[in-house]
This record gives sequence, C-alpha cells and structure tokens, in this order.
Amino acid sequence: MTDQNVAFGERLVAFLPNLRRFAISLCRSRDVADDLVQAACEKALAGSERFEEGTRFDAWMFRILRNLWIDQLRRQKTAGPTEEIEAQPELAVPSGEAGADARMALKSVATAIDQLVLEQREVLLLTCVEDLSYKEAADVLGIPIGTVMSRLARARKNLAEATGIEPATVRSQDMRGGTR
Amino acid sequence: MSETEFSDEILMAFADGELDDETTRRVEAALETDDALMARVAMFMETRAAASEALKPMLDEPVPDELARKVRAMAASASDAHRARPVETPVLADENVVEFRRPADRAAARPVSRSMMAMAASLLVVAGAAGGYLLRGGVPESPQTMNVAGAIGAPLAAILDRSPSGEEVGVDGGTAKVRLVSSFALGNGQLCREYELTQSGQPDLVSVACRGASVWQTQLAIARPTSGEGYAPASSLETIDAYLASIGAGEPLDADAEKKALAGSK
Repeated sequence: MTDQNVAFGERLVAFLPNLRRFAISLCRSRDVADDLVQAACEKALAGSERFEEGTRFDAWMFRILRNLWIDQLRRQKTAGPTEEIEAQPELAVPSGEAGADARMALKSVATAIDQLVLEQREVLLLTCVEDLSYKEAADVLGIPIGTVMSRLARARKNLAEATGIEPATVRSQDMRGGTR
Repeated sequence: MSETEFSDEILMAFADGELDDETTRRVEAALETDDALMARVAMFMETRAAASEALKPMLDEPVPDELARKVRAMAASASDAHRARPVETPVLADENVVEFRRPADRAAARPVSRSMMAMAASLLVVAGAAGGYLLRGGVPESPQTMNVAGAIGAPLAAILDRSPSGEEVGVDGGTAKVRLVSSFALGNGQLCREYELTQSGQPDLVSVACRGASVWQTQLAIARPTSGEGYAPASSLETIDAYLASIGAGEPLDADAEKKALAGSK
C-alpha cells in the first residue's frame, strides 16, 4: 500500500534536524523556531504535490520556512518596530579606533553568525552551512544571484572580522567598504 | 598589484567553486604571484568552513519528540483527508512508516552528507569545485609540487588521462604517488576520476576531478591527517561518496569502458 503523505511525512521528519537548524539560526529562538518548523511542515504537507521530484527537497523546505518567517516579521512590524529588518547597530563594521577596540573582542563563529543582519545571515546559512549553490539560494530567497553574491561576500567579511579569521593583510586594506 | 582586478564576489565565487572556467584560470594565474590575493581567497574559504563547522553541532540536537510526532500526525491526517475514507490509521501508518523509511532516508541523505562534508572540511581542506588551496589559518601553503587545485597541472593530468584505475603511479622521482581509484561518468557524460595523492610532507588527498573541455578540474579534494592514526577517517570517504551521489555520478566504469572513456574526446 502506498501512501504518499505518510511517506512525505517521514521525509520531513528525517529532514527536521536541518530544518530546525535553519529555523533556529534564522529567528534566533528555539521556541519560535519549533513553531516555525511545524508551520512549515504543515504547509509543505498541504502542498506536497507541488514539490517536483528531482529538485532539491531541502531548498524547497527552506523556502517555505523562510517565507513563513518573513511573513511573521512583517506582521510583527505592523505591531511595532522590529530590529530584524534593520541592521543592528553592533553589526556595522566598525572603523577607526572604535573598530580596533571592537576587533579585540573576538567572537565565536556561532555568535558572529547570530549577529549578522538577517539578509546576510540567511544567505550565509543557505550557501555555507546548507551547501546550496548561489543559484539555489537565489531561488529560495527570491532575489537575483548577484544580490546573493554581494550579500554573501559582505556576510563573510563581517564574520571574518568579528571572529578574527581575516588575515591581517586583508584587514589593513580598505576593501571593506560599507556594510550595506 | 593584480588584486584590484578581482572583486570580492569573484574571489568568493572562486573559493566556492562557482566561478566560470575562464575567470578561474585568471584568478589562479594571479594567485601564483600574489599573496595578498591569496589571503583574500583564504578568507572566503575559511569563513565557509568556519560557518559550516560552527553550526554543525545543531544537527545533533535531538529534535523534540513532540515536533516529530506532530509532523507525523499531520502527515497521517493529510493522507486521511486525501483518501476521504475511514482509515485504520495505526496499523496502516506503522506499515507505511516501515515501508517508506528507506526512500525518506535516502531523500534526507543529502543534508546528512552535507554535515559530513563540513566535518571533512574541518579536518582540513580544500574545497571548491573550481579552486582550492590548502589552507590552514589563512596561511597560504607553498606551491605544491603536484597541484590539484582548480585546473590540474600537466603531470597529474597526464596520469588521469592515461592510467587505469587500480594502478599506482609514482611521480616527482618517487616523492609522490597517485593511486587511481575509479572512473565514472556524470549524467551529462562528463568523465570524472577519483584518485588518491600521497606526497611526502603533505597530507594525503582523496580527490575527484572531472575532465572539462581541455583540462581536468578538481571538484573536491579532501585531505586526511597522516600523522598518528594511520587510517583514513571514515568521514572523508563517506564525504566522497556523498559528494559523488550529489553530482549524479554513475557507477564506476569497468576496465574496458574506462579505457574507452579515457581515449574519448577531451
């Protein structure tokens, strides 16, 4: 007896660790993330026939979850200001002396990722953590590849800066430009 | 300095293996003489490995039972709704769980394999479909005698072009050894080979290269620590397998088919 939905459900369950990781990193809260994951699974099940076999299941799920999250942020925004859409002040790459001080307090990579603005964080998660190609990430996010690349490059420079990965030769150059 | 010629996006795409062949060759040529450029590429490679590594533990977090239970319940009720008839849910669901676990697992294999890749990356590595320099702490390695990064150099390319799988070929006066593991075709017919490279003073590499229009390009190279253990961490080989599966590699070619494929047009 075949039962597509149960099979699909098992597929989802098997994918939960990755989906949760993406959700937690996206919304920075395990509780919110689990609700989001559940909502995404519900949506996926309802539209399971829209998933094309042969395409990336993970990308498809990431897109569903991410869209739900963006919706949620927008709804919150009407209720009050949200920092998510805006750059967080501490994320701006510091310059001059303030920058030198900030760089002395190097952060763990996880913390640094957490502190990236959403638009940089999500693109970093999809490509560097979940191994989607630029094109696949662009599809998930609904933005052009060029935008994926510029955000991703900035995300990684910020990450390098915050964690001290960045080689001195690069740091000394004024290659950073603005953060946004 | 040539570095101004390359934008961050280009160098990042190089580090990620997403750069076109032509530009890849230009970047590689520039990298031979430009350490600052190398440092910029290194930054992109390291941030990728670091990000992947940093979030890897999250995959091991147990998924809350309730979440998994709810997803299964939603799936079961969705199928009930679809069938629109009374269902003997418990029995049927159980059967199906067993029956379908395999495909489901296979579908999930990719995410898992990606985490393995991250693991391998942390062992140390090189990554990058198009380019890859062995990086550790942002310090560029001295040029290797057998360069496997990006477009493969002539000596190694000649071996990949000619030597059958199973063979071991000494190069550089015996200081390095190439062991051909297998040949296989991708879905698009492109010929690829897996091989191992042992060089004195360098970590062993397990590598996959594919033959492009005129050159062999390294798709993936995984270094495994040589000191001490004396065995290959299973993860590096699993990573290779996972990678091969992800690029749609066919079964390894048998000796005859390999011979034919190697002789085929380049």
